[in-house]
Amino acid sequence: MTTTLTEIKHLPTLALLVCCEYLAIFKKTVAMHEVFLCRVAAHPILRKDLNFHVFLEYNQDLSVRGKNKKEKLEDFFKNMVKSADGVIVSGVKDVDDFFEHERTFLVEYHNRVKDASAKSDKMTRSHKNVADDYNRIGSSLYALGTQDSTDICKFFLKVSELFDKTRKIEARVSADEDLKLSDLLKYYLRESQAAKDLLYRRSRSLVDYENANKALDKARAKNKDVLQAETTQQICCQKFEKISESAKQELIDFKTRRVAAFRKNLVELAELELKHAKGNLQLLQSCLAVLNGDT
Amino acid sequence: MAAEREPPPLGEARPADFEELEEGEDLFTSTVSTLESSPSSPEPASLPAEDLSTNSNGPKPAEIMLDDDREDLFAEEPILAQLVGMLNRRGREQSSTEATEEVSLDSPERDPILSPEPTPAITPVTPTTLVAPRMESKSVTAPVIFDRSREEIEEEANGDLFDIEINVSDPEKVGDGMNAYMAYRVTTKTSLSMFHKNEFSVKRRFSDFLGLHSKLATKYMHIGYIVPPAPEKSIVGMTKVKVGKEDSSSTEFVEKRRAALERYLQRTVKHPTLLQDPDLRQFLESSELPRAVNTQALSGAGILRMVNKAADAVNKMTIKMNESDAWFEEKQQQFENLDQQLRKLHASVEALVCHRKELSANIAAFAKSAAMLGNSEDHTALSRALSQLAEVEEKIDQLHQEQAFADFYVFAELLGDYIRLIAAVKGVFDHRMKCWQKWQDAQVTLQKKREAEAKLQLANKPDKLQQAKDEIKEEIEEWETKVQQGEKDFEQISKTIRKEVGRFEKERVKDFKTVIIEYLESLVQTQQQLIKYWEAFLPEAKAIA
Repeated sequence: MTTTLTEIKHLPTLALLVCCEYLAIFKKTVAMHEVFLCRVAAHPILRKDLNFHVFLEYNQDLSVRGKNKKEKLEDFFKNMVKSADGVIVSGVKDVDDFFEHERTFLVEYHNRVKDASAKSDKMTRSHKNVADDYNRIGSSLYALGTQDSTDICKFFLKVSELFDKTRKIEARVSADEDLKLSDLLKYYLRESQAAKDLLYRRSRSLVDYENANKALDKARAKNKDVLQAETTQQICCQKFEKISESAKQELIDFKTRRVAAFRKNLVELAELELKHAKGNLQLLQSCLAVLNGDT
Repeated sequence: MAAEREPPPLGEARPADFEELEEGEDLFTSTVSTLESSPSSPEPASLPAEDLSTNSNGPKPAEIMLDDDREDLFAEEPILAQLVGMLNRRGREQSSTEATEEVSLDSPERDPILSPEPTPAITPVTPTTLVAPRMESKSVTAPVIFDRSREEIEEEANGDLFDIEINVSDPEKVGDGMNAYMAYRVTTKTSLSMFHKNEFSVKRRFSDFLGLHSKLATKYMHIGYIVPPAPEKSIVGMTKVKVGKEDSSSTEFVEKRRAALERYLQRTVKHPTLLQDPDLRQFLESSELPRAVNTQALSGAGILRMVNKAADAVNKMTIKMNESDAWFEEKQQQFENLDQQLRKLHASVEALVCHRKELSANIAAFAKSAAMLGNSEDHTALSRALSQLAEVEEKIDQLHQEQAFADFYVFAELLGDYIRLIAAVKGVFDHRMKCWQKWQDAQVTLQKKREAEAKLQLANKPDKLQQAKDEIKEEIEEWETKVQQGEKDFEQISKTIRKEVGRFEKERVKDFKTVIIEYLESLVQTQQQLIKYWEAFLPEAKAIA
């Protein structure tokens, strides 16, 4: 298909399109980073971390090295071991009701967030496709308008303009949904995974503690290496109690943060959807007024 | 005498042939055979002298369909009654005294075989033209009369408030298995006096519509009228329906077809000339319609159609016309551009329909997922909010489905209709080219005959000479007539096309404006609903504590 003059004239909007997309992605990334840093800063222990301080204050290039192949491989194996172990460990029933409830809750919640996150992604992409179609329709109408010899050409041009503007709004709807909904769900997908990991570590430590208890009993029975067994048992006990305490707090915080984040995002989502729908409506109505006035 | 000169192909005594003949291409062979078999075929040549003299160039009265039912009908129409009177007064010996709008089947395209007769006319549709040439001396005033009569008819129609409303409804499956078909109810509401009643309805099947279009196209396209195309056949779609799949895709298909048939009829009756056509009237009124078997794709006629289409395409490429009228060249280019642009737009709108349906499905999936998430959320307020979100999204999904429906039926289908209409317009331009070609060919042949005559003058065989000279003189006269007729036909078709194109453009502007405004209004509705839904949700989201 040969590119006609009308299509060339429409090129500036293509450049605008690319700009808009870039801005949308940029906005997203910035938001994610902000959330991350705020969380670290709010954490009682992490906020004191030296790395964090350096990150915030060092006014020159940090020269962060990415993980090399060896480290990536190590991570991979660690994950494998962890998930295998996790299966074993999760079989252990917990005495503590709180943690038992949390575990059941988290497993289900995690799966459902995963599903919701995936569906939300698909939804956002579909919205974007519709916006792209509006763009193509707008340029086709523009071409029709510039080539037509009858008095309908003004009509076509006006409608083409409408589609261009409405497309921008639709694209923003898609971007906002992405930001407020998809990203939220993605974030909590990872958060719930992190919470699950925490529970795993606690269960691991519980298993270690119970094993240490058994070893101590055995040592006492045999009257051999009792002191060593006692020390090990005590360390395990301390570890377990410490992790239980901080885990409890973390999980309670997790719930609070989750509720707050959902609230914030859902409210903002609704407000943005309203804003865009009203914007669209106004565009459509003013265009209709002009078209009806003409005919 | 009237009875003897039975118009060969159209008599009701031959129902089988009748159907055959309504196929444009079949006309050709059948007309030949029936003319040959008819004892009265040489008759036109032996018409009373008075007629010949006034008739040599003018349009011959059409081979008219003897339809006794129609006699009364025509008596109702004032103009037609006038014509009937006029024709009767002339004491015509032909049975073709009934003025109908039937175009002569011996149309110019079929001329080569029928050449023994004086060239029959491209009889334009309206009755008055049958009379006109006889009233005036053989001049090219016929077209003028034609115009006047067209306008008269239009005025007549306007006087009747041009009021006719057609609905296609109640698709109903008839029969079983592969012989099953859908019957549609066609309801007409009108105050036009040409119809027997003011409100009536009939049952028609898809092939009936195709048959109607075929008849109209045969009669009017080659003289320059833009006949609205019928909806397309769909073997896949129909097979599903026949097989009895009661799923949403087959109901969608039936609905799409019903809407298309309705638009087709509405467009056809809007055309003032086509509205006068008896076939159209029969289609709308008669409870029984002879089955248009030859519209089937795989019938003998169907194959002949395809062959002829191919032949036409080849011919089009080889005709190099000297366009003396810039208007036609300009218009053809415009329609070419319009065609391209509409196709692009149509493709974009169809993509929109597709994506919106996808969006709707994805929203529905998300809604379910959000509901599940809400269920597993143990914070009560958040859980409730998530359930509300799921409900909102479900409603929005419905909304998008409805919008997709509007995208399609309002916008996409209109574009599809116009793409097919433009193909019909291009067809009419092609017919004009063929007409021109015919005229040119006649001129060439005339030239050859004249050269032959000149040669004969110089030849030296006195015994054979006189006879040959007489023969050639006759032939030259004949071809002179043909050349004049060809020129006339060409001017006629050019004039008709100009008018038709003007009308088409007006209709197009009106149609597009109406449809686009309707479409935008559907978008407005969607946005208004969206606002309602999100406004209802916002307090729920804020209530999370």
